Amino acid sequence: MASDLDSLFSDPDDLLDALPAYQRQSVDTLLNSGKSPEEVAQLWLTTPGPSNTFPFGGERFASVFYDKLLDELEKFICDDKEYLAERRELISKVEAGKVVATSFMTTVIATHLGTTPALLTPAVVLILISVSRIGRRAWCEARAEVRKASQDPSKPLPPAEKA
Amino acid sequence: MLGSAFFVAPGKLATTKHVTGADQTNLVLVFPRNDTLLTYEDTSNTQVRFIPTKITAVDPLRDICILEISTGAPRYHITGTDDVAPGDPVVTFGFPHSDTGRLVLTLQNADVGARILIDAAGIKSKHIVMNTQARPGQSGGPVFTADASRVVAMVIGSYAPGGGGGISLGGIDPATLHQTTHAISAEYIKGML
Repeated sequence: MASDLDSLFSDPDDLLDALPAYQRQSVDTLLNSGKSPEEVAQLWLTTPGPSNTFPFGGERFASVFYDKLLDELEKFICDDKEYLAERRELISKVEAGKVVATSFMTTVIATHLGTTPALLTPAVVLILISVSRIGRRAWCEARAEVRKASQDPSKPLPPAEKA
Repeated sequence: MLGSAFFVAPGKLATTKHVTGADQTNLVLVFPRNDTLLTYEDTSNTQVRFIPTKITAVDPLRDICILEISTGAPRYHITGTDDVAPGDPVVTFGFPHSDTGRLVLTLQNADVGARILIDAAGIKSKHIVMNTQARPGQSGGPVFTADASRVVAMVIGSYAPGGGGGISLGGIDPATLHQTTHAISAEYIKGML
């Protein structure tokens, strides 16, 4: 089953086609400035809007979504039992195209995180591109190591992943 | 209630992303109690008419969010800040102090003080400075030309070095007590529809 999922990670830049034009333009600008897909994903979810501006009303932006998103993506693509049924459905959608598959994965994770797919899609796409460049298995192993090290304070964390 | 919103297309409204946040669970739109500003609003009336809504588009770098409902349409054009120059009068509508429960649709007149580009993580966007003091609840309010025929911008907040949030006195950040209010060009809203 896992190998079927790997076709999602071939030609990773095609995943950017899942973004509407207004998001694609900003993501392309940030990627072309030399930032890695992971860095751009993090900026997308954590930037508190236009700089030097105090927002009137509502809430300040929270950065917790990025870490939660990484956790959920790990469960989804690293063969965790939690998303077993959804992963099966994802594999069937990969055949319909990467945009359809990415939209499905984003919707499932957004529902789980209690957010809107409209916000999450660019971050999901960028992290998937990063996973593609590193290799799915290597990314999953690195994530598992990070989690293990964070549970055991005596062990140093592995070097940060960078696409 | 956290902010303001306005129609930008049939069944679609714009507000700021910091008004809605990332969670659209139980997100609702509250409608003004009166159809005209000429009616005296009863500030002791706490009843509201609301309708569930969902988020259809978000640009967190520009702090814009598009909401969808099944009714309503704009009676004006959506343009952008290229339509107004420094010195031009503009009109904004919103619900100042709605964070404290006050629900009074309020008109404010202002002049355009400057055209500026504001950066967000490396993305620069067109804004105008409005020479007026805005308060919590006005985020997401439309900025009209003086003849109210075109929306040129949307109120997003007040200038504050570093984004403010340093200290709060009675719920007010002293760094925001001035007449430099930022509004983002409505052209970016058009691109999200």
